[in-house]
Amino acid sequence: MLRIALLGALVAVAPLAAQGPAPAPAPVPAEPPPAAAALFRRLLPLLARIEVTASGAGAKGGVGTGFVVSTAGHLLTNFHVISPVVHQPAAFRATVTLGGEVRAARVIAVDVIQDLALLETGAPQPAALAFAPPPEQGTRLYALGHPRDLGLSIVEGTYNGLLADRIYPKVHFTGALNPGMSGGPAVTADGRVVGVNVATQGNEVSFLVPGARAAELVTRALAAPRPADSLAADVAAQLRAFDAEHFATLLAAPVATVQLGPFRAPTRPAPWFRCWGDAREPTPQAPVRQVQHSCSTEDDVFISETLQAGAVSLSHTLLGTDRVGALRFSAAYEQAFKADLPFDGTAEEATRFRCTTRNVRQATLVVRAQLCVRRYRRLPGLYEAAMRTATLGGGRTGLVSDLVLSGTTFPTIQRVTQRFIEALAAAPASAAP
Amino acid sequence: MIWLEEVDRDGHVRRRTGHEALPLRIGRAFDAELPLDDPFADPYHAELARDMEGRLVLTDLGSLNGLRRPGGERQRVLTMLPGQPVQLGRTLLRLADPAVGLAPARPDVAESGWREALRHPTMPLAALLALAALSAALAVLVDPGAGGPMLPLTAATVLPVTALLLAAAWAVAHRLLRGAAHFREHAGVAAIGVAAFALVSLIPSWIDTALGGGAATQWLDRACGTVIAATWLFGHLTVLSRAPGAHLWRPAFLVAAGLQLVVAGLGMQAGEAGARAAHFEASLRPLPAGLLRAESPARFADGLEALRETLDRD
Repeated sequence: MLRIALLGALVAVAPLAAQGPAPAPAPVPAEPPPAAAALFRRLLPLLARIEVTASGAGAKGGVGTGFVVSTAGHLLTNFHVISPVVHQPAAFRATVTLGGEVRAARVIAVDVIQDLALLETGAPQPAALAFAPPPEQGTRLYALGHPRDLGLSIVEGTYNGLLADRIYPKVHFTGALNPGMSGGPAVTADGRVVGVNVATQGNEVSFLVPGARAAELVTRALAAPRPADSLAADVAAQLRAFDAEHFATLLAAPVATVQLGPFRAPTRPAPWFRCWGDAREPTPQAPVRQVQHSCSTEDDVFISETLQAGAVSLSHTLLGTDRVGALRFSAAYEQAFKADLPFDGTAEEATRFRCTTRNVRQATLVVRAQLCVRRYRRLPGLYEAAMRTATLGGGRTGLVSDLVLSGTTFPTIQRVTQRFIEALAAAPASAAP
Repeated sequence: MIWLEEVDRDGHVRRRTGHEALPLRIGRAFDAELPLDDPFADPYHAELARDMEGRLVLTDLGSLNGLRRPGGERQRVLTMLPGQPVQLGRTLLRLADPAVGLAPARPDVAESGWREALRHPTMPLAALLALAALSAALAVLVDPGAGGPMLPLTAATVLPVTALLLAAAWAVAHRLLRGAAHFREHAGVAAIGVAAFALVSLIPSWIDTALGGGAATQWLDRACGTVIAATWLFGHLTVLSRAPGAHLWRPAFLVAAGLQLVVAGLGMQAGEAGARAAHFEASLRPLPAGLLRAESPARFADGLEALRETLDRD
């Protein structure tokens, strides 16, 4: 899924080229229905262009859209549009262009899970956009924003209900959202907000933050303002609360397992995981047979350009051979175990990885487990973990398994790794249920 | 004076006799001038004499099995040329050439002991070849051959070349100090050291698999390295100390070897830190489950607290 904030760098190169097929242009009626034209005219003064720039650099940074949600001049947008301002308030600032005026804006509240942020401009507005209850599926919606910073545009589309099987609720909007439209409203024909533009998968498959969640944030933030310096701490606290809730759900269910050769291994922990498999036959150069099985979450919570939370992936690789002896197999097995840690991010954002290696014995197996963890420097109590296990004592067969957790708490890492190891089992295929 | 040599089929001389008078009769008879102990020879098999041109000629005296050059046709008369054997019965005779130098004496291993045998000129070469064979075998045995045939070849050349370079370095030092290089001896020590390294470096991965990791295996790894380095150093110093006054130079070499160890230790630590930061890696040797020391999943999870404390300090 592509988040649709527009970054300065994207403008110069062919945007979206590296990110899958470009969305097809929306079918534009020969003459816009009068409703859209009137609506656009009415909403124009309530829509802002939001730009994030590095302090000191005059150049344009990221660009997104925001809309007025209070007559006091509060704007709602996506967290991912203004995230540099939250993480590095000294290095970045946000400016808004509203009604032809350019002014500085201050982030006063965020909902990092829903990807929302509330901005204060200090300029009272004559009116504010109101939120609508969820409409019927098929209702015509109009999304507004600055696609590719080409000027405010209105895009027609359809409300298609909430997505099933998601970590957090998200509206399926059939319409062409493009980078730069992030944080803009998607409204009904009478101009009430149903959702906030947030992401697209291309080909008019787009996503909105549900209006109810946005309304909640506005109400909460205006009722009880938070001190300006608590934003990063709020982000961490929201992520920790989300982590507790997410993994409580995951760990409540019994562990589903899949048969891989003479082993059983955990698979698809929840409906919001997607799983796939692959197999590789042995060659004279690599005389080991490989069968792969992987699952990962479909979406995650945006923290910064390089950090996510809520993303979980697990994968298993069954290795076996009858062509070479146990000693040569063990060399290939060790080779297969070797891998780079699957993360990026800068030294300011996270510490270096620390690893621990242990042999763990459970009911039917001894596994070698290597767990590597790093800590998010700017978000207290949040870590990123990758564990790789390999079954031992299997002669010429072995199972290498991976578990990756990002933006999670340490107790969760402890609970989930323990559960993961316990769910691995030696089980001859014939004895499998 | 004519010298005749009786040789075996490998060309080694069995008996050498000198003769003043010609002609001389060769055969199994007691009164033959060159008596043979060969059941395939006649009592008077052949006669050696000079012909009119002064060449030495061997003439068949009507023997049963006759005269021939080895592998050739039977002949009645044969000219003897230095170094070219002729066959009487099953005996090979040749004319010796005193101008040709004799091969050096070979040491009698059974008599002189293994130390002298090790100092024989061929020993370092033999050791290097054995090492090459060993590392090639190890590479084939242990490596799945992901890189194709290059891999055993690389392993088989890297270790001997390392040994040669080390030996050369020590020999240069030896020559600077003592005036003689003693390359052979240093090459022997280096070859043994490299072979020990090739073997010992495999051991920690097995123990690591069995113990499940942790500080113990890291220390074991270091200990193995130290033992090899110390043995190596001791060997080279022993070679060096044969010369009088060697004790004066020992401190210098001890310092050099100490530095070598420190550098190796630092390298190991840098490697560990890199491994910690960049990638997954673990030894997974094929040991039976009974030999593996392992903890319960719950204990594993509890043990992660230490990791958390370290991370929170980072």
